[in-house]
Amino acid sequence: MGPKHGDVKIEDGLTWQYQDPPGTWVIVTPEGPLLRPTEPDDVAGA
Amino acid sequence: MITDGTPGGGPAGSWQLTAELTPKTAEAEAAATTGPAEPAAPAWDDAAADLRTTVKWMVAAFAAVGAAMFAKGFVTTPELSWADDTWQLVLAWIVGAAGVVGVGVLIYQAVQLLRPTAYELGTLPAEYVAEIDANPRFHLPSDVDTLADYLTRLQALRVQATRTTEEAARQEGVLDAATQAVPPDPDAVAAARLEVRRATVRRDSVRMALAVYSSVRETLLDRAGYWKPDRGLNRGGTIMLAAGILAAVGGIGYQLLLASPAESGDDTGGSASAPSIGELVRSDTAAGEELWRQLRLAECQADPASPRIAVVVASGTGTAADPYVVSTVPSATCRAATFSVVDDVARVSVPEPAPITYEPAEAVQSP
Repeated sequence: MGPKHGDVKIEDGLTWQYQDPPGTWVIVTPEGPLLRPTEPDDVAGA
Repeated sequence: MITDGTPGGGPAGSWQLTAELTPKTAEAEAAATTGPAEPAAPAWDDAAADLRTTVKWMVAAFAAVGAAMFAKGFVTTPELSWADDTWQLVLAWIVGAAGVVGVGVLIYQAVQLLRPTAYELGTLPAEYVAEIDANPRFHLPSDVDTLADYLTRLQALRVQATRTTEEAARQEGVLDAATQAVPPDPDAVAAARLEVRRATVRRDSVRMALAVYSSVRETLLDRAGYWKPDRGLNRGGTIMLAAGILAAVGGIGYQLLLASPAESGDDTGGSASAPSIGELVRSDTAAGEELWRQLRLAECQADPASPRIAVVVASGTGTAADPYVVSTVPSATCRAATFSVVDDVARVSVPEPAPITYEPAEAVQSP
C-alpha cells in the first residue's frame, strides 16, 4: 500500500509530506508543504 | 511509510522568514541553487567597517597624543641632573613608563578590534550562539529551535538539493528518450512526463527550503562579523578606560616632574617675597643668649625684662636650609644689624593682619 496525500514522514532529518498529485514527497514546514504552484495539477486541490 | 505527526505544530505568529520561501526572480532562483557559496549581505559588514574605521582613528589619536606628551618632556627637559634631582628623575621615569604602558594597552585593545576574523557556522562566537539559541524565532527558520538543529537540517538540505537535482535531470533524460523513441509510445511519454513533474516538484521544494536556510546562514555570518568588534568594544571598554586613565596620569605626572621650578633665581632662596615687620623672640637656649649678647640685642628690647625685639624680616622660614634674614630697627640705644637666625636660636613672628570692625553707637539724645 503506497502513501496517500497528506502523509508525513521524517527522512534525513527533514520533514516530508506526500503530495498527490503529482505523487511525490516534498519538504514541509510548519506553514505547510513547500510547493511552487507553477502547474495547477501539481498542487493538491488546485 | 513513516507517519510522524502533522505540520503546523510549531510556535504561532513568528514565521518572519516565510516571505523568502518563494524565489521570485532568476537571481533568487540561482541563489536557491548556489546559496551556500553566496557572500554575506553587506549591511552588518558596513557597520563593522564603520566601527573599525572609528577605532583606527582612535589608535592614531592615542599614538599622536602619547608621542606629543612624552616627546615634549624629552625635548624640554630642564636643567635636572641625576646628582641633584635623583628622586625627581626616577619618579619621572617611573610615571612616564606607566604612561607609555597605558598608551600601549590602549592601542593594543583597539588593534584587537581591527583584526578581521572569518566565521563559518561551526565557529561562531559562543556568546552569539547562546543568543541565537535563546531567541531562535528571531535568528533561525521556523522549523528549528537551536543552531545545532539548523546546521543538521542545512546539511541534509544540501545533500537533498544535489540528489533531487540529479534525479530531475535523470527524469528529463528519460522523457527525452521516450519522446524521441521510434515508433513513439504515448503511454511511455506520459509516464515519463509525470515522473519529470514529480521530480521537479520534489526538487523545487528542497530548493525553496535551502533558500531560506542559506539566507539565514548569510545573516548569521554577517552578524557574527559585527559581533566581535561590537562586543569587543563593550568588553574592552573597562580596560581601555583604565588604560586611558593610566596614560593620562603617566603623561601629566611625567610633565610635572620634569617641569622647571618657578623662576625665582633672583629671590635668594627666601620664601618671603617682601620684607615685613616682625618680632624676634629669643629662645631660652645658650645659642639664643649668645646671639643676644654678641649683637647686644638687649639694647633693642622695648621691655628690658622681656627678650624680644622688633625686626625687619627680609626672608626665610627659620629652618637651617632657609634661615630668617632679619635686621634690627636702629634707635638711640639699638644699633643697626642684619643677621640670619634659625628657630632654635630665636623665633620670628610676623603679626597677621587683624580686621577690626567698628560700629558707631547710635546717637542718644541727652536730656
